[in-house]
Amino acid sequence: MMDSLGSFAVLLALTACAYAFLAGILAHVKKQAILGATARRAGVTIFPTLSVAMACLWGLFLTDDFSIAYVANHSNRDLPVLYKFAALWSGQEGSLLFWSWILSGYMFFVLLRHREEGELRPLAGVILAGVQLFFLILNAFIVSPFRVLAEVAPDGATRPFVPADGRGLNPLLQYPEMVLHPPTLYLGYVGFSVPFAFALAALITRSPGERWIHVTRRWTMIAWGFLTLGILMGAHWAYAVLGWGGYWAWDPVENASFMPWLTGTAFLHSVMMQERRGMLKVWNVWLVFITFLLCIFGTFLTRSGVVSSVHAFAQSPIGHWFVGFLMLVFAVCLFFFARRRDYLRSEHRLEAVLSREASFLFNNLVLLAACFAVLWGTLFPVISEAVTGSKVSVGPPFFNRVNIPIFLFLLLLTGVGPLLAWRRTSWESLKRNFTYPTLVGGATGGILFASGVRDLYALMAFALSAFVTVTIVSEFYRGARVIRTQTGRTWVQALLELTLRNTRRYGGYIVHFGIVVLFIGVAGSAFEKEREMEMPVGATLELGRYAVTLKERKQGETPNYIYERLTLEVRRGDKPLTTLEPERRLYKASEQPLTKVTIHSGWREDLYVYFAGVNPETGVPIIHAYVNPLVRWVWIGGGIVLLGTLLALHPGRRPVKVAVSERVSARAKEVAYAKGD
Amino acid sequence: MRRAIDGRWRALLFLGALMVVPSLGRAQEPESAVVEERVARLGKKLLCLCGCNQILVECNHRNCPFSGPAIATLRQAVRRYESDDLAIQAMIQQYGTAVLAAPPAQGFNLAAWITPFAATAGGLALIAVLLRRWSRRWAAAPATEATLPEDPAWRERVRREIEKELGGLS
Repeated sequence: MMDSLGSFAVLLALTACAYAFLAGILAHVKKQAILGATARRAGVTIFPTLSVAMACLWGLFLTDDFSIAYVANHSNRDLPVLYKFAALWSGQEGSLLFWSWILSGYMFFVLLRHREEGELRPLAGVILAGVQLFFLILNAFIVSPFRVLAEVAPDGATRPFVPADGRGLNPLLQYPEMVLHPPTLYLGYVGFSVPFAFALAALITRSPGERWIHVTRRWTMIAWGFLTLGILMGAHWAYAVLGWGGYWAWDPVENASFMPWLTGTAFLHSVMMQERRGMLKVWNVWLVFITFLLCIFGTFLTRSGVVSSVHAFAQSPIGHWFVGFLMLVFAVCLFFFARRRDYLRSEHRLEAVLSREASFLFNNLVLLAACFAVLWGTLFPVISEAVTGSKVSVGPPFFNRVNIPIFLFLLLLTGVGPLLAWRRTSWESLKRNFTYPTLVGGATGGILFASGVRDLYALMAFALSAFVTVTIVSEFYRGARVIRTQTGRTWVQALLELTLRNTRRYGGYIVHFGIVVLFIGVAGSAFEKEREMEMPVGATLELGRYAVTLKERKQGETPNYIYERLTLEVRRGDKPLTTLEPERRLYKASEQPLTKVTIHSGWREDLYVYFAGVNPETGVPIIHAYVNPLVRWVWIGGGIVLLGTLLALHPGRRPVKVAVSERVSARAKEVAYAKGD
Repeated sequence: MRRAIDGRWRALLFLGALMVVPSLGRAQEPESAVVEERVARLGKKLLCLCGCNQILVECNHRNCPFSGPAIATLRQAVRRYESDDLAIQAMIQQYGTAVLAAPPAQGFNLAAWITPFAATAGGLALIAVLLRRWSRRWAAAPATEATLPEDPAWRERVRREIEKELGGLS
């Protein structure tokens, strides 16, 4: 019943979507407002219709309906309810339906809001319907999650088959963060469809003014924020679950999420040049297009089996569908760009090399270079095999060697850019703004070198982090000082007022500070220590400041899995610090093993321990331990980035009268300058 | 005669034992440590090919069909060859170039290393050329319509922003 209702809902959504797309195009071409209104309403209905399909699929999981192939392959009776809920997006079919549902949610929101966008909104709705159409065709006909499980009888006939229990959810996904990581990542990926739709609609309609760029920037920031959260959660999951001691391995699936993040970041910077100076319009439009194309490309990478990855979906027949869709989208973008490129002519030219505009250009180049390096490394095995016939691998050593210098340069620009003035920066201003940051950065590097740090990249990362931090602090200090002088408020009040007065600018600085903190955390990996040891009960492993003693070895069982647990006493110096309990599990339904990592996290470093295995000859457990310095700062930095993003999204407070009069007078001066007075 | 030969042999054996036993005793522990250090170091240049994309010595999959035997092969290669390059070469012969964690910087694979930096350098050069051209144009023709502050679009924007800000105050 529920499977039929779910299938029907998907088909109904597909019909509504096809109507919204075709009628929307017709309404735009023929300028028929009533037809356009019906197309909009059809677009709005997709979200509630697909919500019914989602509810049906969740219902099938929660009622253990193993007659449905997707449920039987991704769940089992003893799976905790939370994971039954998350099992919906654990496989190809369900995750594609989930993708469509999120897209329909965004579409619903866009079609009900943005009334002030005039011609732009209906056309953006049509473009979103076009994207949605592709995914709904896949949901309805190619990879439906509502297919019934069947077996072939000896007489050759096919008949329904209901197994006693399902095959269970992949143990790696049975982790609380995995309930949130895919939705946030998808909200990011799919979210980039909205700026894409607005950018393409603006190009098609030659939308006057800059309204479209404001809408696009805002939506990009929302999608970017979700993607950042999704990537961070994925990194934390990899750290806490996969047990290889790190949080980023340059896996093709990780790379697939990182590439649109980089181009989205580039857009969020270069869009300011269009807003303020009417420059880089072609560049911005293509950045939005490329970001969307990279989202689709990432989906293709993870679902086609083109590259191998520990958390990619198995090889499936949908790869060529994505290639076709990518080519079609690219062709459409190229076509309208060729037809409308006169509309994208810059209003101004760059006036000086030492200017904010030039720093944005470099920032964009570096972000795109990083994106290209990641794309190149991800695809090189395929390219090399096609050219030479022999397969090569491109793993973390390649990505680290290529990307670390690029990211260090980017970190430098993070500090330099905001201190340069728009249009032109004088040498005096350069000296004034950069003296202290450069001194502090240099001193930090010198102190670390004197204290024995010899890793060049780590030294540079710490020195540049100090440099950027001082530039950010000085920006807040200068602004707050002006407010204090004018209003007599306290420093805290002045800082708050300053931040709320221009949330976009100061939110951006907070994002930059978060990136600095994140870099500090990443630089800590240069000082990682590890050790593996066979440990009978009573044995002690010593690593860094820690002594880990195996106290107990225990076996047990839950309804979901069988486990072998080690109780480890951790001491630091003479003092007992904590008890860690790493486990090895065997999940009953899937018969898949899992190693449960245990981490003692601190501000300075993490002690990361996992149960690596058992010596087959002696039966003695093997413990692998790492000391990972500064990892906590990676998560804190990520949190600060998200906080800054939220702040930048906040509309901000209108300036107080005193400050406004100053701003207005500054504007008036500009007008006077424009008049030549 | 026989006794003399036996005596010489015994003496030789004794001398040999004197030379070998202490050296064995001295070398036994360090040799194993050196081998393990080399295995750990070279293993970080190799990839597990079970599909996990992890560094060979960091693969933590229980009963991994690849990493266990491959690490054993690496250990043998390290014992056999004093040179790290030869040990890595032995691994390539056994498992193909795919076992390397990064493409070798030779032949077509050199492109993997050069291309990202070449693209970045090309982009930087392009931006430098554009910046120079634009700033020269600005310097040479400061009174062009597009760059003058009297540009109507610029003036209109200033007017709108002032209106917006003043509107917010009223």
